[in-house]
Amino acid sequence: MKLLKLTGGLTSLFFLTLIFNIYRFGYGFNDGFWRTLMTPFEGTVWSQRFTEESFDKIKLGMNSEEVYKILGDPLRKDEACDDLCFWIYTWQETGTADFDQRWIVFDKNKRVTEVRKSFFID
Amino acid sequence: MEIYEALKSTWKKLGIKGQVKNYSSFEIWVLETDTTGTPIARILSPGFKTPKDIDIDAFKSVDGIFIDKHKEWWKFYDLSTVEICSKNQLIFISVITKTAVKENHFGKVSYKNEKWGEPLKVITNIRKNKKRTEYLVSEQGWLDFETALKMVCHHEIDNARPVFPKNRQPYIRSKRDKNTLNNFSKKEVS
Repeated sequence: MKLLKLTGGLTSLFFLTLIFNIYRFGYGFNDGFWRTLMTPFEGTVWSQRFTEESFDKIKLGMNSEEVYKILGDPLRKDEACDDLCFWIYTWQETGTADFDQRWIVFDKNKRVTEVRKSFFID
Repeated sequence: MEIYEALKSTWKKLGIKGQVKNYSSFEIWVLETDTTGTPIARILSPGFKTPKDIDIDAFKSVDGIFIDKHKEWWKFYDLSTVEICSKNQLIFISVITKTAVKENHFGKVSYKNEKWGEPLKVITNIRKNKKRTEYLVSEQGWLDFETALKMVCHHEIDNARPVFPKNRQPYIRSKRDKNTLNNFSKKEVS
């Protein structure tokens, strides 16, 4: 009976955390599920000015100046943009940590071609 | 909460990393982000494995050969070891789980066109003298059973596994394994 109660409690806790993570990060079910399950292995480094609200303002077709105004300096960016280039606003804390991926991909004209918002499992 | 953070930090420090062992006759691209924090692809030659202290995140063939119907990166996860074998121009993979991803999944990949990794350490021959069995291990020469078994138990030999039966003495598995090319028994010499 105790074991049953414990299992029920843990399951409820998991689902509550899942709902919280979906709400907090704006994830779909899939990313929310993995974000919850892999919490012990998560280690995200965020760029200094990063906020989820600002990141959600980034739209396809924006240029790099507009992105910079909203989000500020990324943690790292590809200097050359001959085909695609990445502005990385989050990275992993250690070489094996899973992290909340917030990356902007630009095309060769420095226009946003992809906004990556997901939970990255290393 | 402090205990939780401490446990999380300890687990991260353990950092069991992904590794690739190339038993095939093909060169393989392996991708890592440990060295510079950016994705780097390096060539893993046949008979080589990636260093234990570097976490490998993905692999693909150098010649653009399909691996399991996919030409771009196969992503795999921490704690996993990928064993790559080949037969008749086909590449076979042994890994717990993998995901097909696009070329730029990890960001802009920088390709280093140079050979990399460490040679696989394998048992290549076996001989029996009276009651003693000896194993020929690459870079080591002939080793007695006890030394070879110890090395196998410490994962220092790539193509062998230790077996500890309930009612018998321990032994080193030499029967051919279709996935790991554990086939040194074919060369057994009495």
